Order: sequence, then C-alpha cells, then structure tokens
Amino acid sequence: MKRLGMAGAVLAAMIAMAALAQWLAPYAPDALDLANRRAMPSAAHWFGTDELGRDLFSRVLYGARVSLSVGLLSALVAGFIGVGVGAASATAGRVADGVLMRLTDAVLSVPRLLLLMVAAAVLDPSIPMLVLLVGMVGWMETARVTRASLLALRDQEFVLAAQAIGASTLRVVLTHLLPVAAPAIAVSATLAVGRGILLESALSFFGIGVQPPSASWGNMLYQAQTTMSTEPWLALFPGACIFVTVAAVNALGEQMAQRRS
Amino acid sequence: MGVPLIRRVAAALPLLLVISAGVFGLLHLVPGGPLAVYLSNPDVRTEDLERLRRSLGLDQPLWRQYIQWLAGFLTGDWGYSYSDGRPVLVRVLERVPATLELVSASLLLAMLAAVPLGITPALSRNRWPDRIASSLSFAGLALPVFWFGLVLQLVFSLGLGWLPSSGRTTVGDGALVDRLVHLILPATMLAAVHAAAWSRYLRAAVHDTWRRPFVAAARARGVGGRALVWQHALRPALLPVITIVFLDAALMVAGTVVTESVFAWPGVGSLFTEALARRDYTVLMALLMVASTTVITLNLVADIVYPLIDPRVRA
Repeated sequence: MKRLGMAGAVLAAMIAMAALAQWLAPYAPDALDLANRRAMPSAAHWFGTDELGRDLFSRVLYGARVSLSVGLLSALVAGFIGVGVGAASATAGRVADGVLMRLTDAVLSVPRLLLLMVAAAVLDPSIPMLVLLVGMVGWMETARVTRASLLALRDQEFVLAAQAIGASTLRVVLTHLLPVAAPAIAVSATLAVGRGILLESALSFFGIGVQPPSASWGNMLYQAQTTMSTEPWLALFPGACIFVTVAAVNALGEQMAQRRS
Repeated sequence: MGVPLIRRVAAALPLLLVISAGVFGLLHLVPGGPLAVYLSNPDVRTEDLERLRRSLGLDQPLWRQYIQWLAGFLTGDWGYSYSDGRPVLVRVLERVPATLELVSASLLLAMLAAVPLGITPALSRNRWPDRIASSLSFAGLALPVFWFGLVLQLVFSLGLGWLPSSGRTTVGDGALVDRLVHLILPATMLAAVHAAAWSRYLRAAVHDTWRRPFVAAARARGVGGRALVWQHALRPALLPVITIVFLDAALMVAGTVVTESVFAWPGVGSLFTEALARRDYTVLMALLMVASTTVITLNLVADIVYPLIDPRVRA
C-alpha cells in the first residue's frame, strides 16, 4: 500500500510537470543561450545546457509531454486492440479463436523492438503514427488475458441468465463479461504503459522515433550519446526520468495485480 | 512424447510462414519500394533505376516476389545485400560468433546474479536482504537498457578508465584477457533486465516451496543449512525458471540490437542497425526471420525440456 502511494505520487507529479510545462519551465525549450552552451548543472540551469545553450530542465519537462503521451496513448491503442481480439477470440467460435490466437502467437514471435524499428524506418512516422505503431506491437498480452478471463467467466450463472433472457453476445461481452474481467485487463494495460515509454525511447534513441525539433526523453538521449564524455548530464537526466517513470508505472501495475490475488 | 512434439513442430511452421509474409509485406509497403532511397537521388538515372528494379526482380507482382524469396530462403539462397552486394547468408553468418559470445556471457552473468538475488530471502530471517534484493530486481525491470549501457560506459570507461568502451578486441590484440575485458560491460548491460526478471520468479518460487510440507519434513529429519536450501527449496523452485531462461534467451538475441549499438560490438545486432540505416531490405528480412525462428525454436525447446527435468508434468 505504501508503495502504491509512492508510485502514484511519482506518476502524478510527472504528469503534472508535463501538463504544466509552460508554467514550470524556467526557459522556453528551444530558447538558445549561446553564451551558456554546454553548461554544467547549476542554480540557473538545474540540469545544465546543451550544445546550443538550451536549458535541459525545460527540455525534459516538455519532453515529458511527448514521452508520457506516447506511453499512455499507445497503451490505450494496445488495450483496445487486445480487448477486441481477446473478446472476439473467446466468443466468435472455434475457427475465429484458432485464427486469432495463431495471429497473436505470430506477432509475439517477432521480437517487438525489431519489428517496431523496421516499421518506423520504413514508414517514417509522425508522433500520432508512432503511437499507433507502438500500440500495434503491444496488444498481444492483453488479448491473451482478456480471452482467458472471458473463457473462465463464460459458463457462470449470471452469463447464462443474461443469455437466457435474450441478451446478444455483444451485450453479454460489453455489459456482463468485460466489467468483471476489467481488473485483470487493467493490470496488463498498465504494464503496456511502461513498455510503451521504453519502446518510444528506444526508437528515438536510434533516431527513428520522435524527430527533432520535438523533444522526447528518448531523442534527447540520442542527441546526448555523442557528447557523453564531455557533457554527461545531457544523457543522465532524461534517462533517469524514463527510469523513474517506468518504475512507478510498473509498481502501480504490480500493486493492482497483488490486490486482486 | 513423440506425437505431441511432432504436432508442436508442425504448428510452428505455419507460424513462420505467416510471420514471413507479414514482414515481407511490411518491408515492401514503403512507397517506391525498396529502391526508395535512390528515387530522390538526382545522380541515379531513371533507366538505371529501371534496370536495377528488373535485376532485383522488383518489377514482378508482390506475391511472386514473395514466393521467390521464400523458395530462396528455404534453400539457403538469401539474396544479396543492397549495400555491399555480398550474399546475405555470408553477411549474417560472419556476425553470428560475436553475438553468440555476447549472449552466452550474458546468460551466464544473469544466472549468476539471479540465483543469489532470488534465494537470499530464503537464507535469511532478516527482512533487509529481501528488501534489497526486491528493490534491485524491481529497478532492473524498469531500466531503459540503452541508458544503462551509456551509464556503464560513462562510469567504467570514461570516468574510471577500467574497461574499454567499445569493440570486441583492441586492434592488434585479441588475447583471451583482452577479449574478456571487452566483454564485461556489454554482457552486464544485456544481462541486467533478465537477471532482474529471473530473480523475481525465483524469489516467488522459493517463497512458495519454502512453505511446503516437504521442506518442513526435511527440516524435521534434521536436514539443515545449505542442504535444505539447495536440495529441497532451490531445486523445485529452479524448474519453472529454467523454462523462462529459454524463452528469455531469445529476447536476449533481440536485445543485442541495442547493446551492440551502444558498445560497437560487431555482431548480428549491429548488422541489423547498419542494415536499417541503409534500408538494406534483404538483410533486414533475413534478420527478422532469424530472430523469429530463434524465438519459436527456443519456445519449442522449453516445451520439450520441461517434462524432461520435471517428472510431475510428464504424462
């Protein structure tokens, strides 16, 4: 419970910082200060400045917007696809089940990051497109969880009762099955948020995710990579933000899972 | 044993077929096809482009290209690299030893880290080892791997100067010590996430077996200390973890893409990033197939090995 509080607080703080970036940031994220290039962290520039004199703390705040949105929205996309595939698989008959589950196996067998890297390199995505792509490689676990939960519930009395009074399959799934299965699905969706943030940052780290001038934690690391020996702070802070955020999301997911069992 | 095995293998083959068709389609989705890089290059004449397209078979309908690729792939003719014209199979095979070296070292390292992290809670009545082990493994799972690699580089190469920051050997050297020294940082980077995951599984499993009656019975018989932990608690707890190790080994192979890029390790992973940068489609296609086949094969191996080591699930 204590950890849930901490993880929640960290996440809330991150989201607030991202949302309020324009008021919290001491400088504009792309304001150049050529007199103070490559400055070490100081009272004026908490996280230091980059090779153009841009304030890293401000850029991290604005980068949080991109990284968190990609993480959250891609998990939403993954959740929708996963619940759709899982529910269809559980209810639409044996043939559909076989096809959908083999498809799930197939997508799970291609290493996620590699598939995503190829897709991003080929399609050269904008940020909304990136959200879709990250979501499209992250739905498989949710589909399996949804299918398993629905199959376990399918023969319960309340479902039979609903069917007996003439409820359609869609209605049974939407109003009777999914609400009961929701906690399990929520756990896998939460884990997808953390994974989405990591995947976005990995793509951007290779220079094929979020493109400058938009700042994300991942592409800040990409740019910082070449100046690691002289300006290590440029790499340390964005990476630490990713680390802390993903840890908080995972902690939240784990607490949710434990509370269920 | 025999029949289910055949059925599993038979199920894996259509899976690979679906994957190959999907990936092939994805790679040819780009407007202008695989030659798109040349389209914007004013030095490449239209008639040259046309000749190139014909010689690569790109003027054929997509399904025929796919059939041709598939036939070639199955017979060991993986086509030629777009970037240097050498056979893809040769380019991939020459990178395999470096990656195998890195992955085996990481597997070993991850296991060596995961076992103590997983069993400390069982060894100690004190809550602190458990908390520390739990926090470490929790942190490991949230680690952005590439960033972890950069931090390792920053601390141990650039800062302390203890270990080399890139490559597999020093130029002109290549002695065993030199190679081991180069291996430490990349292997640590690749191992971290998996060590964290395995130690969590192991910890849960040890917790579970520790409370079982057979452990109490062994203790009542006078078995104590190490024998109790190793023989009675750890052995049954390790079994499910072994399956996970097999499944994760495949993920590790995919993870080499990031690790090899950070540490300039000349393996399959860096071949992938090079091919991606140059839009070298034949190489990308081959590597995605190799990666997927590795995942599926190791899944199969895990399924086959598990009943052999755990008599309880043997039918």
